[in-house]
Amino acid sequence: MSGMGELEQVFHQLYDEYFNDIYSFVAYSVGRRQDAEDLTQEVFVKAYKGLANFRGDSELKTWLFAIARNTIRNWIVRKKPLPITEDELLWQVPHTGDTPESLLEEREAMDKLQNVLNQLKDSYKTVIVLRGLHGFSVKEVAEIMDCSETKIKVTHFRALRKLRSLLSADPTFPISLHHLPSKEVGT
Amino acid sequence: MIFRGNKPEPGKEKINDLQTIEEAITNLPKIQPRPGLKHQMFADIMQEVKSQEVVPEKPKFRFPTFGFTVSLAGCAFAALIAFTMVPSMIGTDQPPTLRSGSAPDLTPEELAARQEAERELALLRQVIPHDNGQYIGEGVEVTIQDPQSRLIRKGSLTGDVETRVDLYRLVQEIYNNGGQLISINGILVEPYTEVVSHGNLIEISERRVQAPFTMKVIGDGKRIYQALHNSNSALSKLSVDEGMEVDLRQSRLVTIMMEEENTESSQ
Repeated sequence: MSGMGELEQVFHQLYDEYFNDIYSFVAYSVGRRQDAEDLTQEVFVKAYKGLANFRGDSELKTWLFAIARNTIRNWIVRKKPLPITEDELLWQVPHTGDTPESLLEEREAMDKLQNVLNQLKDSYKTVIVLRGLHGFSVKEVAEIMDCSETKIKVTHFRALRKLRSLLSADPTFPISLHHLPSKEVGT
Repeated sequence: MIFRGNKPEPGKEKINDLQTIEEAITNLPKIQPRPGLKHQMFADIMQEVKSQEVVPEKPKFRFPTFGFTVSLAGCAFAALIAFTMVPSMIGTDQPPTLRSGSAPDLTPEELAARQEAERELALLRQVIPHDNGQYIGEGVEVTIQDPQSRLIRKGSLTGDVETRVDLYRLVQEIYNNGGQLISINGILVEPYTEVVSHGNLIEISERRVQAPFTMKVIGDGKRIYQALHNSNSALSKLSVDEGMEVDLRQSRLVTIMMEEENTESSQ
C-alpha cells in the first residue's frame, strides 16, 4: 500500500466495517465502558500505524482482532484491573416492553450468562467470545491468539465446561443444566 | 434451548449442556457503542495519528549495553590506577622514610645521626641468622698461608700444649675492631673460643685445623679492613715478621654457616 490518501481510504473502510465488532470484543473483555472506548481507540491507532506494513498473511479482520487481543492482554498485565461489580457491567440485554414468558426467561438467562462469563479467566473468555459471538473458526482464533489450533480446541472445551459448572451451581439460572462432579470442573 | 422443567433425553445430558451453552452464547447480543462514539472516535484516532506523524521523535536516551559499561568501568579503573601510581613512581609525593635520608627538614647533624643509626641497625641485623642457617653480611675475608709452619712448632709432640697465640690474638683484634662473627676454616670462633696449638696442629674448640687458614669475618667491613691493614696489626706482623702469605679482602657479602651445636643450643 502506497500513498497517504490510499492508506487513509483503506483505514476508513476498515474502521467502518469492523468498529462495532472490535468494540464489542473489547467491551466483553474489559467490562467497563471507559476502558472499552480507550482500548478500542488504541487498537485502531495501532492498526493505522501497522496498516502500511500489513503483509496479507491473514484476513484483515483476523489481523485486526489479533491487534485487539494483544492490546487487551497488555492492558490487563499493565493495569491489573479490579474485579467488576454487576453495576459496572457494560453489557445489559435491552429490555423490551411486554414480552411473553419464554422471552422473559431467555433474557434472564442471557443476563446470568454474561455475569458468569465475566468470572472466567481472560483466555477462556476470549476463546468463547471469538468462537461463539463473532463466529471465528478454530484456525482463525488460533491466529488471533497466536497459538496452535489444538490448544484453542482444548481451551474452548475447558471454558465451556467451566461455564457450565458455574451456571449449574446457580439455582436461579433458568436453563436446565446438570451438576458436575468437582473433578470435571475446569479451572 | 432447554429451560428448566423440560427434561432432556437420558444419556445426552452433558453433550446437551455444552451445546445449550454454546447456543446461548451465540444468542448473546453484541455490545453496541454509545451513539456518536464511532464518528467521534474516528476523529480522535486521525488526530492522534496526525499529531504523532508531525511531531518529530526526540532522540531517546538509551542505556549503554553491558559490554560497553564494563569497558567504560575498566578504562576508569585503569585511569585511576595510573593517576595514583605515576606520582609515586616519579617520587614527588613519596613520604620520607628512615632509609631515604632525604628529609628536607633535617639538619646535617641530624641527618648524620640518622645515617649512623641506620648503619648500626644494619650491622645488628647481620648477626641474625637466616632461615637456612647462614649469617650473611658485610665484612672481610682473610686467607693465611703458612708454608713454613710458623704457627706451630716443628718437632713438638701431639700431647704438648703450646701457647702460640698468634691466631687467637688476630681473632681478638678483629672482635675489638667491629667484628661480629668469625669463622676459621668453617668453625665458628667466638671471642672466648679456645684457639691453641696442639702439637703440630692448631685446635679450635677442640677441632683440629691446618693451614691454609681461611677466616671469614662479618662485621663493620671498612673498620676491620682498616684495622687489619694497619702495620701494627696482628695480621701485618704475621705477614711481615713471620713471612706468611696473607690475603685480606673487604667484601659486602660474607657468608658464615651457623654450626650445628649453636643451632641446637639456640633451639
